Amino acid sequence: MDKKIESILILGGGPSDFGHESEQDAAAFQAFDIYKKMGINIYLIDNNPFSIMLEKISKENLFIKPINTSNVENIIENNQIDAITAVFGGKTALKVLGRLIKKDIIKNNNIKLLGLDDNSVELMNNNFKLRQTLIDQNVHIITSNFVSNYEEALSISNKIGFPVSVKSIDAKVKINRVICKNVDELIDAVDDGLDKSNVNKVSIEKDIVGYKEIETVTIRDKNGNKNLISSLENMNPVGINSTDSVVFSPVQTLTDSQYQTMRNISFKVIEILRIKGVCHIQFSLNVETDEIFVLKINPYFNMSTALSSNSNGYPLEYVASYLLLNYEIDKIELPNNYNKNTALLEPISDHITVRIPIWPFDEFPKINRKLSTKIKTIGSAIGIGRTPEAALMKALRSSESSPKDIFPDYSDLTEDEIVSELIHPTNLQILIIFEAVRRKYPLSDLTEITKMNIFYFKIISNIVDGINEIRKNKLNDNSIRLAHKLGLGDSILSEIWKIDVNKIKDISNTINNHLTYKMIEPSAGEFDSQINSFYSSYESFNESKKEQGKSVLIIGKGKNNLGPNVASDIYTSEMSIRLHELGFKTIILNNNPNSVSLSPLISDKQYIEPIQISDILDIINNENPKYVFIPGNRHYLINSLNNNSKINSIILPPNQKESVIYSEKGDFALDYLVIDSKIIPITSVGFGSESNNNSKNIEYLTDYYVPFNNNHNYDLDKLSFKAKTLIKKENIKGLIQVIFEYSNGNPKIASIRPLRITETIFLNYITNINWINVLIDISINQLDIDQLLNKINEINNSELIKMEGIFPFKSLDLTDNVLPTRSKEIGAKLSIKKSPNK
Amino acid sequence: MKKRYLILEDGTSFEGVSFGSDATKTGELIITSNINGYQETITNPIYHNQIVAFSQSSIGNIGINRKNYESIFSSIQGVVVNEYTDISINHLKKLSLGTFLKQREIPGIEGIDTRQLMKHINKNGVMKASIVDVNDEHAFNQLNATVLNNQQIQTVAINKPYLIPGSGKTIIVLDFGLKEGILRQLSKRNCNIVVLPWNSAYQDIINLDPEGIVLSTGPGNPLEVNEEVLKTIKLIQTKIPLFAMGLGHELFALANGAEIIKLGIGHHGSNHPIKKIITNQIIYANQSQDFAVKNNSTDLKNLITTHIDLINGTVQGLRHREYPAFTVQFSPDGAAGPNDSADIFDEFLESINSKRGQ
Amino acid sequence: MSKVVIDSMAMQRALTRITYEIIERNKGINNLVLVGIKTRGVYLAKRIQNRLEQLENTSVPIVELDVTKYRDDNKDKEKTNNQVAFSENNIDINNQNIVLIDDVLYTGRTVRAALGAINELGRPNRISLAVLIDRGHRELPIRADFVGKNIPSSQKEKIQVLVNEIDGKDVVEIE
Repeated sequence: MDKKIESILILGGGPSDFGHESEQDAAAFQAFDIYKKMGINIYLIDNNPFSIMLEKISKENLFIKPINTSNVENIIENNQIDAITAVFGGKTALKVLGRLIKKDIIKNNNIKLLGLDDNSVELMNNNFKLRQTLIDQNVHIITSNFVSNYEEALSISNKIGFPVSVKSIDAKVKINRVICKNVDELIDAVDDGLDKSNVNKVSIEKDIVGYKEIETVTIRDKNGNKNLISSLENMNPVGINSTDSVVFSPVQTLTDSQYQTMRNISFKVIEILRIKGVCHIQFSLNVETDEIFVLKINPYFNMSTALSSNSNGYPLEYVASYLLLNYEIDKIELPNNYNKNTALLEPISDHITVRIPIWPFDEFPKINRKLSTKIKTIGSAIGIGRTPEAALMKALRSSESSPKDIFPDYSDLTEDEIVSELIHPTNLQILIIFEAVRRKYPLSDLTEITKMNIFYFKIISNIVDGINEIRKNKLNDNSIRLAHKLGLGDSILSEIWKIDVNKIKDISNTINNHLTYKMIEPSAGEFDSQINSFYSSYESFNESKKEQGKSVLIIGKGKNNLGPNVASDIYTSEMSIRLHELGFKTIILNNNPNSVSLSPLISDKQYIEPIQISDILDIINNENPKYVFIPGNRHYLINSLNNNSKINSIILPPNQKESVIYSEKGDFALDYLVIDSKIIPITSVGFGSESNNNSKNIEYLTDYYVPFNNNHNYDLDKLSFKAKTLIKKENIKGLIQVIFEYSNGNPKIASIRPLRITETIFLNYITNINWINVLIDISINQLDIDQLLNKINEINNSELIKMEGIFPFKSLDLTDNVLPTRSKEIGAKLSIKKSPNK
Repeated sequence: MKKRYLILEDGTSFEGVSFGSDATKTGELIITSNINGYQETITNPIYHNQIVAFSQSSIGNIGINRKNYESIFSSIQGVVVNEYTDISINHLKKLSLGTFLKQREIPGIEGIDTRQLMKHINKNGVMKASIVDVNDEHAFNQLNATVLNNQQIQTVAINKPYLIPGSGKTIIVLDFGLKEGILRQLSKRNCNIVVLPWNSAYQDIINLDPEGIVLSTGPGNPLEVNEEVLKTIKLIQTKIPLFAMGLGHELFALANGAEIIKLGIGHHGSNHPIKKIITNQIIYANQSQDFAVKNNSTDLKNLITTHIDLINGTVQGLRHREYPAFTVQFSPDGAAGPNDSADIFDEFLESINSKRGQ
Repeated sequence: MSKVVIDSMAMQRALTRITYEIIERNKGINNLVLVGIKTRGVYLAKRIQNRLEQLENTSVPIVELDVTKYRDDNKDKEKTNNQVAFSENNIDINNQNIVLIDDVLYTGRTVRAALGAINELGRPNRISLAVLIDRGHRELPIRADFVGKNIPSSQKEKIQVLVNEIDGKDVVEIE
């Protein structure tokens, strides 16, 4: 019998980056919760400061280090590790694990691999071997064939069928793949390719641009039992990175036999890899022949697995955590609120989820906005609706905070511009399609141009027609019904009709057109369960009963973008956890599928809805919360909320408008907690900058380190006295940062500001005090100040801790003239050194 | 945008909008939760005389396709959906789900909260329903007075034999209202298929000297099927390897002394885990089931229970202890639904080989 | 080049069918004893035993048999004489129905050796033979009662049965 696993080392996901937000952190957090209850000792290596795990795991078990072979090896040598897993860390973690296996570190330390065995780790790290294995097992993949003359090229092309794509190997100049539809084109392409190749070789592949791109998420237990958890369909065909495409789940335009083939291949692949746990697979489908090719296999938690569990309510992270530990799928006991059979049921939905990508292009006016196979998306938002129209509209509404911005005016675009945008899509693609449909382009032409399924144009045309109706029939009962069916929301109606949102809600109620919340659960209504996740529709039965007792609504950040978004999400989650501890029923509104804050462990109830004023009012109406908490500075939202409801809203951290600013510059800072008449010093912080442009404008200061490296031996006590005096004078409260700049060699106060979200989380780590909890406690008058003071006294600055911003410029091909600023951060990394000062 | 109603036997009424035909029709209401394959579902003769509701929210997205028929005719009484999408992608771009239904005088109704409907039926049991223009007392009276036809098999099954030539084994399929998927699976395995009417006599079957016999799926109540059929099954199972599905499975069970019950809540979908007892494997398959073999009613001396639904505990497969005869409740051919168990057709053909080898 | 003649699914199916056929022909599982011929026959026997247990909730006894010393081509009689043939010597096979299980039936000499071994242990009611592959070329008048698959092969070819328990995969290959 196997030795019982008593400790597990989790390889984390690292800083957030393209294609990676908090989804792995969220999955790891659920697994951590389960394993902890089993009495398993969990170790984590990660250097992402914005991680819920960092806060929850004990310091002794946490290794703030980059995930690389030597760091992990070191942890293994110095700790009792029974098992290790890369499924919460993705590709990098798998690579590291592969190297550890090769070096026999895993074997010599008698460590078990969870999820993937050494053979499958090897396959995942060795593309050539993986491809060979798949071919051997009759799984279709797109193979590259290397040829060095025309005859071979022709013979290969005839075998795989035209069109083919030809690419020069080790080319002397940068050239693209050439698509050849016939022999003539092949001759030219091969001649040219061989000519430009340093090694006289070209590669020939089946051309799959234009094939439908589809995805599945499957699970498997140690006995080989499998379950298809969800299917995803990209609106864009192959050629655009799937993260950059609008995605529908479940698939909408597949025939049953295509769907079943995809399901069978998914099962075959997960069986070949003998995965215990979860696997996400991407495919291309030739709709003419029904042939399906495997494009990519991701045997770990990622954004698609997160989308799955958020969209259909299957407890994927929970179940997979057990599967990793060799549980059989029929032996997994779910939490009480689930129907007991849920783990075994193949999930089905009676709603549709649409994921919409968010691009960071507004920050970079000169960027190349064209979408390609290279990922440019920085975040995403989902909309869940009963109809595809509603799901799409809600996703669009979730992608913009103001209803005004959802349908910008493109009427000035010429026909040529429209067609060109359709052929070479950019981030504006979906809006351009709306414009094309508005201009009555035949839907079949649009299909022809874009290679997208006609279904998408059909539903967009339904929305466009609907909006025209609504415009024509102002305040009409049917218009309101139609708008609700299409997922337009009262905010858009209010915008179209220039009428107050509440007025529309009143009419809607009088015509018996009530908002209903439907449970996001995986049996399409077949079984009763009490899953706490909801979306809205306008139908006959509301399934979301008001939370009993005093409740709070916390308004999540929604879609990710550059800047402190991932941090905001952690901030939101911490708020919710604390409020729950304080006896509140916590309700979270969010629509970012990759967020930690939507995890069922974080709150008592989740609403996946657009974060627009009308949607918030609806939830307030249904729940009547005692407080509404708003993490972060969201002026538009806060203003409209204050205008529209008598609700008690609390904004944390306080508005930056409360800052007192003498100068925008800064070199170091002192952090304080100001409560009642007390001004409690916490720590000093040094600032640094990624760029060497010598600007000391705090916007450009993206590195923070603690303690401040006081090289010049300033009298910090004296500076602190000055700071305190000023704080008192300006009467600022809460978690405060007093920023100093060097002026003629002497530090002087530049500004006093509420501590920003990212730095608050950094401060949590530095001080081992959860400052978000402190702020929450203060906001509802429940702070135990003595206990806090004791903890502050225990702060130990023996280490030099650094948080550095990470920027997306290189990945976006932005090389020159972009300066790293706080608002352009994609993520951050933590590092620790033993302090040289002490 | 014609307003219409779906009314239920228990007095419940749902307002919706018409698509397809405007005919008024009545039938037993069933809800399928299959994610895909609405065309396969509405052309499956098993749903003869029933009104089919879909819990999947958007139906019609891929029009009607030449390859997705489970029978050329559709004899359902109505289609109930949350949202209908009017799309045709066939060769002439003329045949959407709506036109298909219209041509066959089948009413469709959209805008129904099918989730609420599912919950309602699961709570109150299977019942009759009508799709009507007005939901007045008269309509409900009409609905309640309607006695549903119990001649389903006679209506949908063939009454003349036909042959689908193949180079492999000669298999007789007794047609109780079969779906094409069964023939497709056998053809794929090169079988020489003879389709015979459901009430063919034992001697007529034996005279064709088949190597195996298949009892097809079909609509309706197995308890209303002629006693003669059970006798034929009982005789034939001793002579020829037998495989049966759906209604065929229920009849096989009856012929071997098991009891059949009508389920309070039928199950139509592919989401239930089915345990294959012999290997402890879990599979998923399309279930279209209003009847079931009563648990523990099988004579253990005769039959072995081979498959079981892990959700509702219903018997999903049987095998005779003495003869190579085995059956499943579900549709292993999928269409619509998973083909996790399609290799049961291989198992059947291999058992013929084995029998022949003796 | 080796060619897959039975994949894992087909192997599962064959064992499943053989299991049902054993029940059919034995009229149940009473008095049944499975004898697996080493090496791979033992694993196949165990799988059949598992299947029988799944279906009937009773564990059928299983005996492992090493036929080396009974083989007619055994040239080292001295050395093997003291080898234990059966994994289980206390089992009473008198009046039992034995199913002898092996992976490949070829010349029949292994089965003959097995019969010899069983003979020394007692007098069963009946002995039947189950094999995953019958490849023909018999040199003795021996015939299998339960066959997974007949693979008429040339004598030059090599048939290899791989089982998950020792080979990491279920497959039958021909070379």
